[in-house]
Amino acid sequence: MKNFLNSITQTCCLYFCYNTENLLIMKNNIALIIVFLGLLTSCYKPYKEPAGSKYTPILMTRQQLNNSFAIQSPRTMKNTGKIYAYASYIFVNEKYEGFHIISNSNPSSPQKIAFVKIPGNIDIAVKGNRLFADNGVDLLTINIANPMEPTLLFRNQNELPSLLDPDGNRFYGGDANRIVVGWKLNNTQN
Amino acid sequence: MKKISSIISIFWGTIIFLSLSSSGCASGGSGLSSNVAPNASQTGKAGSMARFAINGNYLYTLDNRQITSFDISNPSIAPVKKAVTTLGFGIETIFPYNNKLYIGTQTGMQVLSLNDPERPMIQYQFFHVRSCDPVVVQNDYVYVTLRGGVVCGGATNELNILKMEGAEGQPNFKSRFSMISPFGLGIDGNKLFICEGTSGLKFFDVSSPTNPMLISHITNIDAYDVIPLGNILLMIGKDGLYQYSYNQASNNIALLSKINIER
Repeated sequence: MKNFLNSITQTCCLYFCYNTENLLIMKNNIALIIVFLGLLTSCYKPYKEPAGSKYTPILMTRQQLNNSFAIQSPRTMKNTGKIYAYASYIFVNEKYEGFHIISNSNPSSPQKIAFVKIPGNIDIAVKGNRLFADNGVDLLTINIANPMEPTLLFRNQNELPSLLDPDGNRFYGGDANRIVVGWKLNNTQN
Repeated sequence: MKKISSIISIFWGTIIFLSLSSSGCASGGSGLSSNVAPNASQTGKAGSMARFAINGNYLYTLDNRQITSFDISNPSIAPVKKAVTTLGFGIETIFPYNNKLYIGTQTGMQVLSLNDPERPMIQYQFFHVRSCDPVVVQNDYVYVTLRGGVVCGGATNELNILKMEGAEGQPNFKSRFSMISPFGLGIDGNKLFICEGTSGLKFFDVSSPTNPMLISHITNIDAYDVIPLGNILLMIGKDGLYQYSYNQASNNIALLSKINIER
Protein backbone atom coordinates (compact mmCIF):
# COMPACT_ATOMS: atom_id res chain seq x y z
CA MET A 1 0.00 0.00 0.00
CA LYS A 2 2.82 2.30 0.96
CA ASN A 3 4.57 1.49 -2.30
CA PHE A 4 1.40 2.11 -4.23
CA LEU A 5 0.95 5.54 -2.63
CA ASN A 6 4.60 6.27 -3.28
CA SER A 7 4.30 5.46 -6.95
CA ILE A 8 1.18 7.62 -7.27
CA THR A 9 3.02 10.51 -5.63
CA GLN A 10 5.99 9.99 -7.92
CA THR A 11 3.79 9.97 -10.98
CA CYS A 12 2.03 13.14 -9.83
CA CYS A 13 5.29 14.87 -9.08
CA LEU A 14 6.61 13.84 -12.48
CA TYR A 15 3.51 15.31 -14.06
CA PHE A 16 3.97 18.42 -11.99
CA CYS A 17 7.60 18.80 -13.06
CA TYR A 18 6.80 18.44 -16.74
CA ASN A 19 4.11 21.03 -16.45
CA THR A 20 6.24 23.66 -14.76
CA GLU A 21 7.81 24.08 -18.20
CA ASN A 22 4.46 25.27 -19.48
CA LEU A 23 3.61 27.51 -16.55
CA LEU A 24 3.98 30.72 -18.50
CA ILE A 25 1.55 29.56 -21.14
CA MET A 26 -0.82 28.36 -18.49
CA LYS A 27 -0.79 31.69 -16.71
CA ASN A 28 -3.04 32.92 -19.47
CA ASN A 29 -5.50 30.20 -18.87
CA ILE A 30 -7.17 30.37 -15.49
CA ALA A 31 -9.27 27.28 -16.07
CA LEU A 32 -6.23 25.21 -16.77
CA ILE A 33 -4.55 26.51 -13.65
CA ILE A 34 -7.52 25.48 -11.55
CA VAL A 35 -7.40 22.00 -13.05
CA PHE A 36 -3.66 21.92 -12.49
CA LEU A 37 -3.97 23.05 -8.85
CA GLY A 38 -6.68 20.51 -8.25
CA LEU A 39 -4.47 17.81 -9.64
CA LEU A 40 -1.60 18.97 -7.48
CA THR A 41 -3.52 19.07 -4.25
CA SER A 42 -5.06 15.70 -4.90
CA CYS A 43 -1.69 14.03 -5.11
CA TYR A 44 0.91 16.10 -3.35
CA LYS A 45 1.96 14.75 0.01
CA PRO A 46 4.42 16.58 2.23
CA TYR A 47 6.74 13.67 2.97
CA LYS A 48 9.14 14.14 5.84
CA GLU A 49 11.62 11.78 4.21
CA PRO A 50 11.55 9.10 1.54
CA ALA A 51 9.83 5.97 2.75
CA GLY A 52 12.44 3.50 3.85
CA SER A 53 15.34 5.90 3.41
CA LYS A 54 18.33 5.34 5.64
CA TYR A 55 19.13 9.04 5.33
CA THR A 56 17.81 12.33 6.65
CA PRO A 57 18.10 15.30 4.27
CA ILE A 58 20.24 18.30 5.20
CA LEU A 59 18.23 21.36 4.17
CA MET A 60 19.01 25.00 3.36
CA THR A 61 16.81 28.01 2.85
CA ARG A 62 17.00 29.87 -0.46
CA GLN A 63 18.97 32.66 1.21
CA GLN A 64 21.42 30.21 2.78
CA LEU A 65 21.93 28.51 -0.58
CA ASN A 66 22.50 31.83 -2.34
CA ASN A 67 25.28 32.61 0.13
CA SER A 68 26.75 29.12 0.34
CA PHE A 69 29.59 29.45 -2.20
CA ALA A 70 33.00 30.09 -0.63
CA ILE A 71 36.70 29.61 -1.37
CA GLN A 72 38.57 28.03 1.52
CA SER A 73 42.17 27.06 2.16
CA PRO A 74 43.28 23.55 1.16
CA ARG A 75 42.25 20.85 3.59
CA THR A 76 42.44 17.12 4.11
CA MET A 77 40.30 15.17 1.66
CA LYS A 78 37.56 12.94 3.01
CA ASN A 79 34.36 11.30 1.78
CA THR A 80 35.43 11.94 -1.80
CA GLY A 81 33.33 11.38 -4.91
CA LYS A 82 34.13 12.03 -8.54
CA ILE A 83 37.27 13.38 -10.16
CA TYR A 84 37.71 15.74 -13.10
CA ALA A 85 40.86 16.74 -14.98
CA TYR A 86 41.38 20.06 -16.72
CA ALA A 87 44.69 21.47 -18.01
CA SER A 88 47.22 20.79 -15.25
CA TYR A 89 44.55 20.71 -12.54
CA ILE A 90 42.58 17.96 -10.86
CA PHE A 91 39.24 18.60 -9.22
CA VAL A 92 38.15 16.15 -6.55
CA ASN A 93 34.59 16.26 -5.31
CA GLU A 94 33.88 15.86 -1.62
CA LYS A 95 30.34 14.48 -1.55
CA TYR A 96 27.76 17.22 -0.85
CA GLU A 97 30.51 19.61 0.36
CA GLY A 98 32.29 21.03 -2.71
CA PHE A 99 35.59 20.21 -4.43
CA HIS A 100 39.31 20.30 -3.89
CA ILE A 101 41.53 21.97 -6.49
CA ILE A 102 44.85 20.24 -7.02
CA SER A 103 47.70 21.63 -9.07
CA ASN A 104 49.16 18.71 -11.01
CA SER A 105 51.97 20.29 -13.01
CA ASN A 106 54.17 17.66 -11.39
CA PRO A 107 52.21 14.37 -11.14
CA SER A 108 54.87 13.01 -8.79
CA SER A 109 54.05 15.80 -6.36
CA PRO A 110 50.49 17.12 -6.77
CA GLN A 111 49.61 20.07 -4.53
CA LYS A 112 46.21 20.94 -3.04
CA ILE A 113 45.70 24.66 -3.62
CA ALA A 114 42.12 25.41 -2.55
CA PHE A 115 38.80 23.99 -1.44
CA VAL A 116 35.68 25.36 -3.09
CA LYS A 117 32.76 25.06 -0.70
CA ILE A 118 29.54 24.23 -2.59
CA PRO A 119 26.91 22.53 -0.41
CA GLY A 120 25.10 19.79 -2.31
CA ASN A 121 27.89 19.42 -4.89
CA ILE A 122 28.36 16.06 -6.65
CA ASP A 123 29.34 16.86 -10.23
CA ILE A 124 31.45 19.34 -12.14
CA ALA A 125 32.42 19.97 -15.77
CA VAL A 126 34.78 22.52 -17.32
CA LYS A 127 34.86 24.36 -20.62
CA GLY A 128 37.44 27.07 -21.15
CA ASN A 129 37.81 28.87 -17.88
CA ARG A 130 34.26 28.14 -16.82
CA LEU A 131 33.54 25.41 -14.33
CA PHE A 132 29.94 24.24 -13.96
CA ALA A 133 28.88 22.73 -10.64
CA ASP A 134 25.67 21.63 -8.98
CA ASN A 135 24.82 23.47 -5.76
CA GLY A 136 21.69 21.56 -4.75
CA VAL A 137 19.03 22.66 -7.24
CA ASP A 138 21.19 25.50 -8.55
CA LEU A 139 23.71 25.34 -11.37
CA LEU A 140 26.79 27.47 -10.68
CA THR A 141 29.19 28.89 -13.28
CA ILE A 142 32.58 29.53 -11.73
CA ASN A 143 35.51 31.39 -13.29
CA ILE A 144 38.68 29.33 -12.82
CA ALA A 145 41.00 31.50 -14.93
CA ASN A 146 42.97 31.78 -11.70
CA PRO A 147 42.43 28.40 -9.99
CA MET A 148 43.95 29.77 -6.79
CA GLU A 149 40.97 32.09 -6.50
CA PRO A 150 37.87 30.91 -8.36
CA THR A 151 35.01 33.39 -8.52
CA LEU A 152 31.28 32.82 -8.90
CA LEU A 153 30.01 34.13 -12.24
CA PHE A 154 26.40 32.95 -12.42
CA ARG A 155 23.83 31.12 -10.36
CA ASN A 156 21.00 29.44 -12.29
CA GLN A 157 18.40 29.03 -9.59
CA ASN A 158 16.19 25.92 -9.42
CA GLU A 159 17.33 24.54 -12.75
CA LEU A 160 18.51 21.17 -11.47
CA PRO A 161 16.38 18.49 -9.84
CA SER A 162 16.48 17.96 -6.09
CA LEU A 163 19.37 15.79 -4.84
CA LEU A 164 18.65 12.10 -4.41
CA ASP A 165 19.89 10.27 -1.34
CA PRO A 166 22.87 7.91 -1.76
CA ASP A 167 20.44 5.05 -2.41
CA GLY A 168 18.64 7.00 -5.13
CA ASN A 169 15.55 7.96 -3.11
CA ARG A 170 13.92 11.33 -3.62
CA PHE A 171 12.92 13.70 -0.80
CA TYR A 172 9.36 14.92 -1.32
CA GLY A 173 9.22 17.34 1.60
CA GLY A 174 11.35 20.02 -0.05
CA ASP A 175 10.15 23.32 -1.43
CA ALA A 176 11.59 26.64 -2.56
CA ASN A 177 12.83 27.32 0.94
CA ARG A 178 13.75 23.77 2.00
CA ILE A 179 16.45 22.72 -0.44
CA VAL A 180 18.34 19.45 -0.06
CA VAL A 181 22.12 19.96 0.10
CA GLY A 182 23.17 16.66 1.60
CA TRP A 183 22.22 13.56 3.52
CA LYS A 184 22.95 12.36 7.01
CA LEU A 185 22.92 8.63 7.69
CA ASN A 186 20.31 7.84 10.35
CA ASN A 187 22.02 6.29 13.33
CA THR A 188 18.86 4.98 14.93
CA GLN A 189 16.76 2.28 13.39
CA ASN A 190 13.08 3.06 13.10
CA MET B 1 -8.03 13.45 9.97
CA LYS B 2 -8.38 12.96 6.25
CA LYS B 3 -9.74 16.48 5.94
CA ILE B 4 -6.82 17.96 7.81
CA SER B 5 -4.30 16.18 5.64
CA SER B 6 -6.08 17.32 2.50
CA ILE B 7 -6.08 20.91 3.78
CA ILE B 8 -2.37 20.56 4.50
CA SER B 9 -1.76 19.20 1.05
CA ILE B 10 -3.71 22.10 -0.50
CA PHE B 11 -1.56 24.45 1.54
CA TRP B 12 1.68 22.80 0.42
CA GLY B 13 0.52 22.55 -3.17
CA THR B 14 -0.31 26.24 -3.22
CA ILE B 15 3.00 27.21 -1.65
CA ILE B 16 4.91 25.10 -4.17
CA PHE B 17 2.84 26.43 -7.04
CA LEU B 18 3.25 30.05 -5.97
CA SER B 19 6.95 29.75 -5.28
CA LEU B 20 7.57 28.03 -8.58
CA SER B 21 5.51 30.44 -10.62
CA SER B 22 7.24 33.41 -9.01
CA SER B 23 10.80 32.13 -9.20
CA GLY B 24 10.15 30.42 -12.52
CA CYS B 25 11.51 26.91 -13.10
CA ALA B 26 13.08 27.97 -16.37
CA SER B 27 14.32 31.39 -15.30
CA GLY B 28 17.78 32.45 -16.36
CA GLY B 29 20.57 32.75 -13.84
CA SER B 30 21.26 35.94 -12.00
CA GLY B 31 24.35 37.55 -13.44
CA LEU B 32 27.01 38.42 -10.88
CA SER B 33 29.87 39.41 -13.15
CA SER B 34 31.32 38.20 -16.41
CA ASN B 35 34.99 38.20 -17.10
CA VAL B 36 36.09 35.00 -18.80
CA ALA B 37 38.96 34.75 -21.23
CA PRO B 38 37.24 34.34 -24.62
CA ASN B 39 39.97 32.21 -26.21
CA ALA B 40 39.49 29.25 -23.91
CA SER B 41 37.26 26.55 -25.37
CA GLN B 42 39.10 23.50 -24.09
CA THR B 43 36.93 20.96 -22.30
CA GLY B 44 38.16 18.94 -19.35
CA LYS B 45 37.98 15.20 -18.87
CA ALA B 46 35.55 13.53 -16.52
CA GLY B 47 35.72 10.11 -14.95
CA SER B 48 33.30 7.41 -16.10
CA MET B 49 30.94 7.96 -13.15
CA ALA B 50 30.07 11.52 -14.24
CA ARG B 51 26.54 12.90 -14.50
CA PHE B 52 27.65 16.16 -16.12
CA ALA B 53 29.06 16.23 -19.65
CA ILE B 54 30.01 18.94 -22.11
CA ASN B 55 29.72 18.38 -25.85
CA GLY B 56 30.37 21.36 -28.11
CA ASN B 57 28.41 24.33 -26.81
CA TYR B 58 26.13 22.31 -24.56
CA LEU B 59 26.27 21.14 -20.98
CA TYR B 60 24.21 18.04 -20.23
CA THR B 61 23.17 17.12 -16.69
CA LEU B 62 21.57 13.84 -15.65
CA ASP B 63 18.93 13.22 -13.06
CA ASN B 64 18.12 9.58 -12.34
CA ARG B 65 15.37 9.73 -14.95
CA GLN B 66 16.06 12.64 -17.29
CA ILE B 67 18.67 14.67 -19.13
CA THR B 68 18.74 18.48 -19.19
CA SER B 69 20.54 20.52 -21.82
CA PHE B 70 22.08 23.96 -21.26
CA ASP B 71 23.43 26.23 -23.99
CA ILE B 72 26.84 27.44 -22.76
CA SER B 73 28.02 29.00 -26.03
CA ASN B 74 28.15 32.54 -24.67
CA PRO B 75 30.66 32.88 -21.80
CA SER B 76 29.36 36.30 -20.82
CA ILE B 77 25.88 35.08 -19.90
CA ALA B 78 24.60 32.35 -17.59
CA PRO B 79 23.95 28.91 -19.14
CA VAL B 80 20.58 28.88 -20.88
CA LYS B 81 18.39 25.90 -19.99
CA LYS B 82 17.03 24.44 -23.21
CA ALA B 83 15.22 21.16 -22.76
CA VAL B 84 14.49 18.34 -20.36
CA THR B 85 14.23 14.87 -21.94
CA THR B 86 12.95 11.85 -20.04
CA LEU B 87 15.11 8.77 -20.50
CA GLY B 88 13.65 6.24 -18.09
CA PHE B 89 14.62 5.09 -14.61
CA GLY B 90 17.97 4.44 -12.99
CA ILE B 91 19.91 6.82 -15.24
CA GLU B 92 23.46 6.93 -13.88
CA THR B 93 26.40 7.98 -16.01
CA ILE B 94 27.12 9.97 -19.16
CA PHE B 95 30.00 9.71 -21.63
CA PRO B 96 30.15 12.01 -24.67
CA TYR B 97 31.78 10.48 -27.76
CA ASN B 98 31.65 11.30 -31.45
CA ASN B 99 28.58 13.54 -31.24
CA LYS B 100 26.64 10.99 -29.24
CA LEU B 101 26.00 10.60 -25.53
CA TYR B 102 26.44 7.16 -24.00
CA ILE B 103 24.24 6.79 -20.95
CA GLY B 104 24.75 4.09 -18.37
CA THR B 105 21.48 3.08 -16.73
CA GLN B 106 20.50 0.40 -14.25
CA THR B 107 18.83 -1.60 -17.02
CA GLY B 108 21.20 -1.05 -19.89
CA MET B 109 23.04 1.42 -22.04
CA GLN B 110 21.41 4.14 -24.10
CA VAL B 111 22.96 5.90 -27.05
CA LEU B 112 21.59 9.40 -27.52
CA SER B 113 21.84 11.17 -30.85
CA LEU B 114 22.90 14.83 -30.73
CA ASN B 115 21.70 15.72 -34.21
CA ASP B 116 19.69 18.36 -32.38
CA PRO B 117 22.11 19.19 -29.53
CA GLU B 118 19.35 20.90 -27.55
CA ARG B 119 17.23 17.77 -27.52
CA PRO B 120 19.19 14.54 -27.20
CA MET B 121 17.16 11.66 -28.60
CA ILE B 122 17.38 7.99 -27.69
CA GLN B 123 18.80 6.30 -30.78
CA TYR B 124 19.61 2.86 -29.37
CA GLN B 125 19.07 0.95 -26.17
CA PHE B 126 21.10 -2.05 -25.16
CA PHE B 127 19.35 -3.88 -22.35
CA HIS B 128 21.10 -6.07 -19.83
CA VAL B 129 20.43 -7.49 -16.39
CA ARG B 130 19.76 -5.01 -13.62
CA SER B 131 23.04 -3.48 -12.42
CA CYS B 132 25.09 -0.29 -12.26
CA ASP B 133 27.09 0.36 -15.38
CA PRO B 134 29.41 3.17 -16.41
CA VAL B 135 30.39 3.30 -20.09
CA VAL B 136 33.46 4.42 -22.02
CA VAL B 137 33.98 4.42 -25.79
CA GLN B 138 37.03 4.38 -28.06
CA ASN B 139 37.23 3.80 -31.82
CA ASP B 140 33.56 2.75 -31.82
CA TYR B 141 34.19 0.02 -29.25
CA VAL B 142 31.99 0.45 -26.20
CA TYR B 143 33.13 -0.83 -22.80
CA VAL B 144 30.41 -1.22 -20.19
CA THR B 145 30.91 -2.58 -16.69
CA LEU B 146 27.96 -4.16 -14.91
CA ARG B 147 27.97 -4.29 -11.13
CA GLY B 148 25.34 -6.09 -9.09
CA GLY B 149 24.59 -5.50 -5.43
CA VAL B 150 22.11 -4.01 -2.99
CA VAL B 151 21.87 -0.52 -4.51
CA CYS B 152 22.15 -1.56 -8.15
CA GLY B 153 20.15 -4.77 -8.04
CA GLY B 154 21.10 -7.98 -9.75
CA ALA B 155 24.09 -10.18 -9.08
CA THR B 156 26.01 -9.87 -12.34
CA ASN B 157 29.54 -8.47 -12.33
CA GLU B 158 31.06 -8.27 -15.77
CA LEU B 159 32.60 -6.25 -18.56
CA ASN B 160 30.59 -6.11 -21.78
CA ILE B 161 32.14 -5.00 -25.05
CA LEU B 162 30.02 -3.74 -27.93
CA LYS B 163 30.82 -2.17 -31.25
CA MET B 164 29.04 0.66 -32.98
CA GLU B 165 28.55 -0.65 -36.51
CA GLY B 166 26.94 0.30 -39.79
CA ALA B 167 26.23 3.70 -41.24
CA GLU B 168 23.96 4.61 -38.34
CA GLY B 169 26.38 3.30 -35.74
CA GLN B 170 24.30 0.64 -34.07
CA PRO B 171 25.72 -1.04 -30.94
CA ASN B 172 26.29 -4.77 -31.46
CA PHE B 173 27.31 -7.08 -28.65
CA LYS B 174 30.83 -8.56 -29.05
CA SER B 175 32.11 -10.14 -25.85
CA ARG B 176 31.78 -10.35 -22.09
CA PHE B 177 34.21 -11.02 -19.26
CA SER B 178 33.60 -11.84 -15.65
CA MET B 179 34.58 -9.16 -13.07
CA ILE B 180 34.56 -9.01 -9.26
CA SER B 181 32.79 -5.72 -8.46
CA PRO B 182 33.49 -3.18 -11.21
CA PHE B 183 33.03 0.57 -10.65
CA GLY B 184 34.57 3.20 -12.95
CA LEU B 185 36.67 2.46 -16.00
CA GLY B 186 38.82 4.28 -18.54
CA ILE B 187 40.43 3.55 -21.88
CA ASP B 188 43.42 5.07 -23.66
CA GLY B 189 44.89 3.51 -26.78
CA ASN B 190 45.77 -0.09 -26.04
CA LYS B 191 45.25 0.27 -22.28
CA LEU B 192 42.00 -0.35 -20.41
CA PHE B 193 41.69 0.41 -16.69
CA ILE B 194 38.93 -1.01 -14.52
CA CYS B 195 38.26 -0.19 -10.87
CA GLU B 196 37.13 -3.24 -8.90
CA GLY B 197 36.19 -1.45 -5.67
CA THR B 198 37.70 -3.20 -2.65
CA SER B 199 39.25 -5.71 -5.04
CA GLY B 200 41.61 -3.10 -6.47
CA LEU B 201 42.55 -1.79 -9.90
CA LYS B 202 43.08 -3.81 -13.09
CA PHE B 203 45.17 -2.89 -16.14
CA PHE B 204 44.34 -4.59 -19.44
CA ASP B 205 45.93 -4.61 -22.85
CA VAL B 206 43.24 -4.03 -25.49
CA SER B 207 45.38 -4.30 -28.63
CA SER B 208 42.60 -6.68 -29.58
CA PRO B 209 39.64 -4.46 -28.65
CA THR B 210 37.18 -7.26 -27.91
CA ASN B 211 39.63 -9.45 -26.03
CA PRO B 212 41.27 -7.59 -23.11
CA MET B 213 44.34 -9.27 -21.61
CA LEU B 214 45.03 -8.64 -17.94
CA ILE B 215 48.46 -7.01 -17.49
CA SER B 216 48.38 -6.10 -13.84
CA HIS B 217 46.08 -6.23 -10.83
CA ILE B 218 46.82 -3.93 -7.90
CA THR B 219 44.95 -5.49 -5.01
CA ASN B 220 45.74 -3.53 -1.85
CA ILE B 221 43.59 -0.51 -2.78
CA ASP B 222 39.89 0.38 -2.94
CA ALA B 223 39.43 1.77 -6.47
CA TYR B 224 36.39 3.85 -7.45
CA ASP B 225 37.06 5.74 -10.71
CA VAL B 226 39.84 6.56 -13.18
CA ILE B 227 40.79 9.18 -15.76
CA PRO B 228 43.53 8.24 -18.25
CA LEU B 229 45.39 11.39 -19.29
CA GLY B 230 47.86 9.92 -21.80
CA ASN B 231 50.80 8.39 -19.84
CA ILE B 232 49.27 9.40 -16.48
CA LEU B 233 46.37 7.57 -14.89
CA LEU B 234 44.38 9.35 -12.19
CA MET B 235 42.66 6.95 -9.85
CA ILE B 236 40.42 7.87 -6.94
CA GLY B 237 39.85 5.30 -4.26
CA LYS B 238 38.57 5.29 -0.70
CA ASP B 239 41.93 6.15 0.82
CA GLY B 240 43.66 8.26 -1.78
CA LEU B 241 44.05 10.01 -5.11
CA TYR B 242 46.64 7.91 -6.91
CA GLN B 243 48.64 8.68 -10.05
CA TYR B 244 50.29 5.97 -12.14
CA SER B 245 52.51 6.31 -15.16
CA TYR B 246 51.79 4.08 -18.14
CA ASN B 247 52.62 4.09 -21.84
CA GLN B 248 51.43 2.53 -25.06
CA ALA B 249 54.76 0.87 -25.90
CA SER B 250 55.10 -1.29 -22.80
CA ASN B 251 53.14 -2.87 -19.97
CA ASN B 252 55.09 -0.93 -17.34
CA ILE B 253 53.05 0.70 -14.61
CA ALA B 254 54.53 2.78 -11.81
CA LEU B 255 52.97 4.61 -8.89
CA LEU B 256 53.96 8.29 -9.07
CA SER B 257 52.10 9.81 -6.14
CA LYS B 258 49.27 9.50 -3.69
CA ILE B 259 47.34 12.17 -1.81
CA ASN B 260 45.72 10.65 1.25
CA ILE B 261 41.99 10.67 1.76
CA GLU B 262 40.83 10.44 5.35
CA ARG B 263 38.71 7.36 5.94
